This record gives sequence, C-alpha cells and structure tokens, in this order.
Amino acid sequence: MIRVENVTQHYSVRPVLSNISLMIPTGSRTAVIGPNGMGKTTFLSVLAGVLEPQRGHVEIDEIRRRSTVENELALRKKAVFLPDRCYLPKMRTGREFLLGVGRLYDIDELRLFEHAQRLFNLFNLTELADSPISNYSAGQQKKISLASALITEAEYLLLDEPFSGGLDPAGILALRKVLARLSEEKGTTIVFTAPVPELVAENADRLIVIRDGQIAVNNSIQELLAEAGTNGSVEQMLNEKIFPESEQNVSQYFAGGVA
Amino acid sequence: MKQFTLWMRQVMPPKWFSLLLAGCYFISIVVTQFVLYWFDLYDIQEETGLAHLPSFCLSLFAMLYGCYRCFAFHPIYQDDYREWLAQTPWSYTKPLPRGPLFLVAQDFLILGIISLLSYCHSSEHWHLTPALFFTAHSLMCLISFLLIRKFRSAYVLTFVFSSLLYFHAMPVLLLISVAIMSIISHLGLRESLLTFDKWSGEIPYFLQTNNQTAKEVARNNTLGWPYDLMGPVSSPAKPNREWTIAIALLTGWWSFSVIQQITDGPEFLWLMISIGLWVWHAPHFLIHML
Repeated sequence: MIRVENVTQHYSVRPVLSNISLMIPTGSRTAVIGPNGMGKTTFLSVLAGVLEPQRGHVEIDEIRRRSTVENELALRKKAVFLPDRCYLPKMRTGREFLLGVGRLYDIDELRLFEHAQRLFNLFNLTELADSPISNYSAGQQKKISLASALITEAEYLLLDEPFSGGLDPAGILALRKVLARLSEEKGTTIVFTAPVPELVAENADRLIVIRDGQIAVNNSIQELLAEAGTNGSVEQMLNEKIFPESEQNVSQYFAGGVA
Repeated sequence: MKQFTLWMRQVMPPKWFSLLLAGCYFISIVVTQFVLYWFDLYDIQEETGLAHLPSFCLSLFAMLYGCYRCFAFHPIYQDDYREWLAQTPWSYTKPLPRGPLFLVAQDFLILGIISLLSYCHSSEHWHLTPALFFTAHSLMCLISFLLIRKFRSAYVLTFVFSSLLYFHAMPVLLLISVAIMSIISHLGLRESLLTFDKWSGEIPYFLQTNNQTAKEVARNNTLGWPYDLMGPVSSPAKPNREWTIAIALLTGWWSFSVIQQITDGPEFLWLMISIGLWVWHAPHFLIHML
C-alpha cells in the first residue's frame, strides 16, 4: 500500500501539491489525471522518491521514502518509476539495455533472458532486439522504455504518461492488457498518469484527479460511476469533474464572432 | 561472428567515428606513399618524417579512444545517465547498464591491434601509442576525480603524470609509469563508484532534499539587498598545512620535470629550488581553486 501523508510540494512560490493525504491500495490500477501543469508528474515523482516534498512524506508498505539509504534502495527495487521521457542508452541494443536493467534489480539470469524475449515479442520488437536503440523510432523507443519497467518485476509500477509518446494501437492494446493482468494475477500496484479521461475507464479501477494542488477526486471508478448515475458515460462524468470550464470555453470561443 | 560483433560493441565508439579514423589512417598511408614515390624520397623518408604520419594517426586514434572509454561510460560525464542511475537500485557490485567503465578485454584487443600496426610503421616509437591511450584515459579519470572531489586520487595521479615527461624517451620506464598510472586510475574509479550516492555532497543522494528546497533554504537565509552587506561574511577557507605542503611538493615536482626538459644542469638542485619556492610562497590560490 502507498500512503501519502500531508504532502506539500511547491516550485518557487507556486504550490503544486498542497497538503495532500491519500492511500493507494495494493493491487490497484490508479489513474492520475488533471489539467496540464496541475502536478500529475510532480505527484508521481514524489511517490517515486525522485522529489523530496517540502512537507509530509510517502510510505510504501510502511517504509518511509528517503528515510535511510538502505530503506530507499529497498524501495527503489520494489517501486519502479518510469518518467515520460525515460533515459535510453542510444548506443546499446534493446536487448543489452533490458538485460542491464534486469541485472540492476537482481533478476535471475535465465528468467531475465527469457522475460526479455517475451517483452520483445509482446511489443513487436523482435527484429530490432539486437539493433542499437538509436535505430528505433519514437514509438519503438517508448516501447523499449516500457519494457524496461516491466522487466524489473517490481511490485509497484509508477508510470508517467505510459500511453503517450508515439505508441501505436498494437502497443497500447498490449500495454493495457499487460497492466490489467499484472494487477489481477500478480497483485502489482500500478499508478499512471494520463492526459485524457478516455484512457481511464478501461485501464484503471481507481481515479485520482488533481486540481489546483488539491485532490479533487480520489475514488474507485465503480463508485464514481454510481455517483454519476446511469445516464452519463464515464468520459462525460470525468470531463465534468476535470475540465468543468471546457464546455464554457468552447461556447465563448464560437460566440466571439466565428463566421 | 555475430557474437564477436556484439561482444566488441560493448566498448566500441560509434560507427561513424571508427570509420572516420580508419579513413584518416588509410589516407595517411596513401598520401605518404604518393609523396615518397612522386618526389623519390624513399632514401630519406626517416629524415622527412613522412614515415611517421600513419603512426601519428594511430596514436591519435589511441588517444581519442582512451578519452572516449572514460567519457562515454562514466556517469559523471553523462547527466541523463547519472540521473537515471540514481533512481535505480544500482550499487557498485552491479554492472553499469551503459557498458563497462573499467578497461576490459575488448579494450586490450583494440589497443593491441593499433599498437601492432604502429610497430609496423615505426618500430622506434610504437610504444607511444599505448602510452597515449592510457594517458588520455587517465586524464579523463583525473578530471572525473576532481568533479567528484576525490582529491587524493587526483593528487596521486597528477604526481605520476609528470613522470611521463621525465621518461618519455625511455620506452621501458615510460610503459612502467603508464602501468602505475593505470592502476591508480582504476583504484580511483573504484573508489568513486563506491561512493556514487555521495557525488553531489557529503549527504547521501537518497537523503538530500531536492534542489528547489535547497535553493529556497538558501534564499531564506539571506537578508536581501542591501542588508546582505551587513550580514556575516564567510571568510575564505584556510588551507591546512598538510595540503599546502602536498600542493607545494606537487608543483615543485612538476616545475622540476618541465625545467629539466629544457635546460641542462644539476637536476637535484632544480628540484630543491622548485619545491623550496613553492613551500615558501604557500600556493593558497591553488587550494582555493580546488
């Protein structure tokens, strides 16, 4: 379980997260959404221990982040953070990179080789497995970075915008199914950010909405649906919660004299 | 063959870079042979220095490769790599995902081939090729030690560097100096990687607050213009006696090594005068620079 206690994070005088407290249950798939610049990535970075919040703290399985070197190293093994633009050694091949990452997480060598091959098959990268990453397209680079997170076999996956970055429909489908099965069968806790509500309904069972530095919504999708009633779709309900001013902005735009 | 290529790829520079250097080498051979043939200079090729042109190209390649092996694989020189690595559970006992930082068998194979080619062109000066490789590699290590503030390793390495000047005309002693230098570089690299989490300060990386916080703390501690002028002024750090003497010895030894290259005379006297001068003037500015 991830526990966030009174976390405050601000850049200069601009507060991004203000006194946030919440819990993310083990084995859940949690989507973090919100307007641009409202702190989705900051929130994930705080969970990942990349940022130390000005106030408050984060605990994963009751171990406090950044408390001691030993604790932090143990948590880094347990919780993997994949930023939107992940570092990739362009001169190494995809296979070398995946094996290198797997070794960082002490994965058994035989299992590592076999898992790497399965990941190449999953993302249709088999032919490029032994080519330098510099030869990969943007979408293929996104796939190899996702594969690098999956090969760690970590219990917690913190993924920043995993469905963006040029991923093709086959890649999106594969990722969606893999995340769902990891969560259901292995109890992996997945927290990911998404720019649009359309990605949430099918990929998450919990939702966190961040607005103006506060948690506007933190609930399971089922409960949110029940709250919205049977008339509206999930997207409609989310749009109302996340972007309430969008409809009004569109109306104002066309009212401003568009022929 | 594929296995061998993959094995070599672990340390090889980018393809364009290797091809460029190989191209320069072959052009140097063609140009040399053409000039020797056209002007009929075969009898005096040693005097003209033309015979050494391909060997010079190989030495240049060895030097650039030495720099590359440290620069491309050391996390201190690759910001993205270092930041990513700091977010993983990497520790010294695990291999570096980008590739080996320490010299490996592939390096010695490449160096062996270059040295052999160099020997074919110039049996007198072939030893300069491996010497330049190790010197360039150690120089990049030295810079990394300074960046990580591993001053002890940097100091010892700087001391040994001067011996290259001293022994440059004596192949066996030069290669022994180079071997010692490489061992020191290796130990220094090992020490640097062991303390990876403390590269950005005395507090382990994992326990530091983020930069934003640090900046804000710094800002809160200042009084603001113009009241800063009334605040306490931090005096420049006073160098301790041990470091003053160590720097004096180093600069004295370097001065001596350089002077004895350009003048003939009582070498021991030069050494004593150099060290004496540096100790007397206590080079505080050097310590401040560090």
